[in-house]
Amino acid sequence: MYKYTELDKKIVTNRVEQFRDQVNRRISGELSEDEFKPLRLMNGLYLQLHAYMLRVAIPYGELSSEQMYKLAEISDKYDRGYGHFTTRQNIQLNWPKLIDVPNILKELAEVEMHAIQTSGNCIRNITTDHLAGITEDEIEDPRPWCELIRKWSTFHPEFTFLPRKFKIAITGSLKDRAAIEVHDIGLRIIKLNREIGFEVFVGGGQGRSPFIAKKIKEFVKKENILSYLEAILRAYNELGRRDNIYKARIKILVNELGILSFKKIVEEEWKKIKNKDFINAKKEIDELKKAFKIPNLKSNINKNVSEKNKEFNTWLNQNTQKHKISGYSIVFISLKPLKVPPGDISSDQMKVVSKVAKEFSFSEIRVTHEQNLILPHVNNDDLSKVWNILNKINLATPNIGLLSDSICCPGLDYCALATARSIPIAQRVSNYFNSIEKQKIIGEMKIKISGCINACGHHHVGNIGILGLDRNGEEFYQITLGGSAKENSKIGEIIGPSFSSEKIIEAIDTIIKVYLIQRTHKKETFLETLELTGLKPFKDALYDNH
Amino acid sequence: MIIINKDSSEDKFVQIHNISEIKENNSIFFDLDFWKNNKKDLIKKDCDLGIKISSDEPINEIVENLEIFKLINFNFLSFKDGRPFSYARKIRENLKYENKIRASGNILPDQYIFLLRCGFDSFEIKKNQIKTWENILKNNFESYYQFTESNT
Repeated sequence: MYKYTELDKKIVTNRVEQFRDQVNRRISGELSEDEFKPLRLMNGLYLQLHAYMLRVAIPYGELSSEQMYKLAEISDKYDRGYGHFTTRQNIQLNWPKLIDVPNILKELAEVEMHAIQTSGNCIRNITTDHLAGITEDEIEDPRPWCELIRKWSTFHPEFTFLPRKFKIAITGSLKDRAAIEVHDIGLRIIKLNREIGFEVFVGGGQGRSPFIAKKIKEFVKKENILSYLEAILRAYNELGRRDNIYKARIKILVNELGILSFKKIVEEEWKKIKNKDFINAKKEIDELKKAFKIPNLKSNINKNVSEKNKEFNTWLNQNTQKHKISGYSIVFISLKPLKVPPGDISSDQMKVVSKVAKEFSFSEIRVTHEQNLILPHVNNDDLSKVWNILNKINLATPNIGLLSDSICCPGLDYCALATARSIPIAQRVSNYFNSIEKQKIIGEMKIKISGCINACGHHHVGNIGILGLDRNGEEFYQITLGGSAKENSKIGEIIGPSFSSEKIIEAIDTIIKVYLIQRTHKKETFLETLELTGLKPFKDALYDNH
Repeated sequence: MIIINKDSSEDKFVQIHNISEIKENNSIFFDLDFWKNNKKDLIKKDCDLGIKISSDEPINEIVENLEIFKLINFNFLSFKDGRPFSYARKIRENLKYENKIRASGNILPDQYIFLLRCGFDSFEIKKNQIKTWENILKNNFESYYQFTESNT
């Protein structure tokens, strides 16, 4: 795993003291709330419905055992004994006190963590494929590039007061597990004539105006990627709208100008700065590649796992995946057990995960953008032990990729922007379809729930998307079908009038029933069926019932 | 309000609104509209010229005459309006402008380092904030990842 350099340490420690000074100036009244807001936001500190919320960065979703343990200690000491993993691979603490935040940041810095740029109108945490470096379908491990871009974007002097937030995702594989097409910039590592470089997408995003990103450049050489990003960001900083917060994201600019005009502006600027090296990238990337090498695993093709325990086998089939080194597995830890908000984890569970990772996965843990955790390198001989430990603490629900593995934003339970609750809907869906057998018959199914049109629960790209709305003080839920965040991403289509909170589960059940009747064979996914049938049979079934 | 210059020099620029206000050898500055309306006259004057551009105005208008300005003063309408950060780097790094770039208007002491690193070297600040500005410059990171041409 990546270890901080002296410069990283210095920057993060300085930041803690700088924020302490800003908090003191706020408390003394020297800073108004309006002036303090962008400063606290750049440190991941939001003011929510009931309290402050601190979003801690987990760069590209990688955590060490030590870091996980520290997060548990912090949530015990300063919060309410739990944390919430987000769809951008970060973790949120929902109840910190303002006065404690500088000390929380100080403790985080001790384990090489921070909350820098986890909010505010700047370049946010760089996200990536949660299977980076450990699957065979990869062209190159994207993590060194993520770290390079993290460095380039951290306290970037020019891009810290952008029109709006800016999210970058990178994948190193043709299979997109990082949802790059719904990011402000999506990068895909590709190989062209034996040379490795980047395919660049721009202007994707969800929120109230969802857009799939457009391809702006077929191929950018590795050594020019930072200058290309710099040219895009500069065009956006100058031309992005600042008159209307809802139209300020780069997706609106790209859409208003058209991708060709936008590209022309970017390329013109790029010509002038193409060969500049902003962070000594050439030297840096070689070092980073060494830092991100996976542990030295000894391949063993004879290590087949067999157990008589049925529960273990169900988990093994659903929650583990082949590692690129035979004899090892990738273990998914489901943070979607029954009756728990998706992505939530208690401090006691965090401590156990920290220990399991230390003993069985080279102290490495990853966070997925679907709000689960991963133990990336588990020896097949240890799978049964790992399952036993996880099962005891309710972290072995065998539902990865199934219907109850839904994504959901905090909604009206926590968020000041929300128009409806989303966590209770996720919980009711899980309760209703609680049989794993039943879920396996349905197969892969992505349900994504947002509590308002800002779409933090990614409902636009859910196979079934649910959007919570307020209608005269009552919660209503609009359904979209057919969304996807994988390669060739799609925005779901609204099926029709929304459903009351009381009727929403019944509506989802109807959709599932229509799918099971309509599909031509058991392996046909919901998206494939929908492609063939269109919305009509679903509409007919949903609205005949009303 | 007071002016602090990175090179500790004294500020001599006076804002004018009318061509008759100009005296010989003066250091004057004016807004973009004034420049557009009086360009021909202003170029001929034996004065140090400066221009004040609001953060929502494009810089295209001044680019072709960049070399005649001794001061470019970007007036931030809001500290959240980050456009001048890009403008400053463009004129410093792409166009090799070497005279003063000032930040004025709604700016925060916490933006000081970012402004310096983008090429600003003159600041119009509230008098009662001078201590905070000095402290921030003294206590804050000289350490950052990026090399801009104004990182020193």
